[in-house]
Amino acid sequence: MRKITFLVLYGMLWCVSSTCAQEAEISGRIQLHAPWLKKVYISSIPDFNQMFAVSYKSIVASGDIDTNGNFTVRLPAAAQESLYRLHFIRQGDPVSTLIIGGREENHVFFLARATQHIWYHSDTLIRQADISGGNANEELKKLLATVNNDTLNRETIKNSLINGACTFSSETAGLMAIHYMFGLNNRQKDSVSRCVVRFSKNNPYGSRIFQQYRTSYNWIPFVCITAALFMAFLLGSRAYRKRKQTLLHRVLSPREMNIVSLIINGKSNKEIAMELSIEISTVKTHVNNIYSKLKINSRKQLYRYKDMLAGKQVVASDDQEEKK
Amino acid sequence: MESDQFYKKKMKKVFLSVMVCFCALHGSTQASLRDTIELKGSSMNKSITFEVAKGTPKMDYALKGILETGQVYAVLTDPEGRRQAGFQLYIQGRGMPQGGKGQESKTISFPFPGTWKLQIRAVDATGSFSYKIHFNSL
Repeated sequence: MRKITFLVLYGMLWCVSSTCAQEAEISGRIQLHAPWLKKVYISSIPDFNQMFAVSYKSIVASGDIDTNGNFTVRLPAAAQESLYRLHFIRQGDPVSTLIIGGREENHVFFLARATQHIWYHSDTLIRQADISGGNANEELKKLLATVNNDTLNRETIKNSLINGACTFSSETAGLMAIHYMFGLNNRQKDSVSRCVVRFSKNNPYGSRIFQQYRTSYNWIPFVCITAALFMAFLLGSRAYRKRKQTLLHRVLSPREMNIVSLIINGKSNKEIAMELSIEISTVKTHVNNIYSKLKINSRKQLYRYKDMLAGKQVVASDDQEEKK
Repeated sequence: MESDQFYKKKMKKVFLSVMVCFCALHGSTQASLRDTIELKGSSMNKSITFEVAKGTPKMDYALKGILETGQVYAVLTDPEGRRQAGFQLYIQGRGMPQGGKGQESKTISFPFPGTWKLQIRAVDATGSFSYKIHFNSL
């Protein structure tokens, strides 16, 4: 029994350790000369605003570069894709050194998730274009190349970023495209808001972006427009009915109105003639006049005036009471 | 006779071209902003704004921060508020190995005209921060 318990506990521990302590690996080759140290450092970037932040604490792994320029570094990585920075330093520089721009640029960015393998093969220069490993890194390269291209027109950059946000298969690359956006007009903001919906709410890189774009996709105008349309429909139909009611009253004589109400109550021409003490031919003449005035040709069509007639009769009876 | 007139016309054109070039060069002004701030465990917040005229062909900038302790944050933004350059250095607590260093240099072709802003913020920082911005304006 004790043996089984031990085995179960050992199995659980193994499961937990294998899921928690997963790693990604980056390997590559670079020919670095004299002023550069034969070391490579990997920093974790938890937030896009920290992409150019330098801190010793953010370094999560490091490794040596051998005499042939090869290196392999294993880094702790979560199941969800995260952003990392790989950097090299020159002799005499602190480990936390970031050189941006120019021929001495010392870093590249990459995206990695647990168990993923990333490659970096370069000559003597440190270039973003030399990183590879999955679609995510291709998209990241494309994005950074666009953002850092000074020769591109600003509108072209904006459209390219919107396109990236809406089409990149990598969520992190897509969110980074949004992070880099600037000076968007309302139409462009709407496009971004529509694209933001496709990203997982739990993506840590999106928290700031979701605040900006998910709330900016305002439902209040939608509700207001719907309410306004509904009100317009109600008022319109009411006005239409009122107009028909007055039309009925205006077009038909009191006798015809009387006959209409009797027809609606299901009386035949003969019954109407008896009730009103008139000839049946007179009733028929009245009915024909009613049909031509209301542009209808059957009793069935007359039923649509039932409510109006009822309303009018109430109004008429009220008026009569007032007169009395 | 005809060839004389032809040469006269050509000389006139050359002279005018030289004059236009001279005026353009003479009319252009060079602006340069530079400073080195010594940080001695202090905190500061500084904003430097400068105007870039329309048609300015290029702008060079270089930012450099060397830190033993504390934090330094520097960001250069264009008139549209787009971040064009900058970095943050965080050295938490004394005794961290070797401090930190951030450096950025770049040339921007035809920078966006308007008011650019360089913002520097330091928190309990020991070290130095320097910047150099240079551009030609017509």
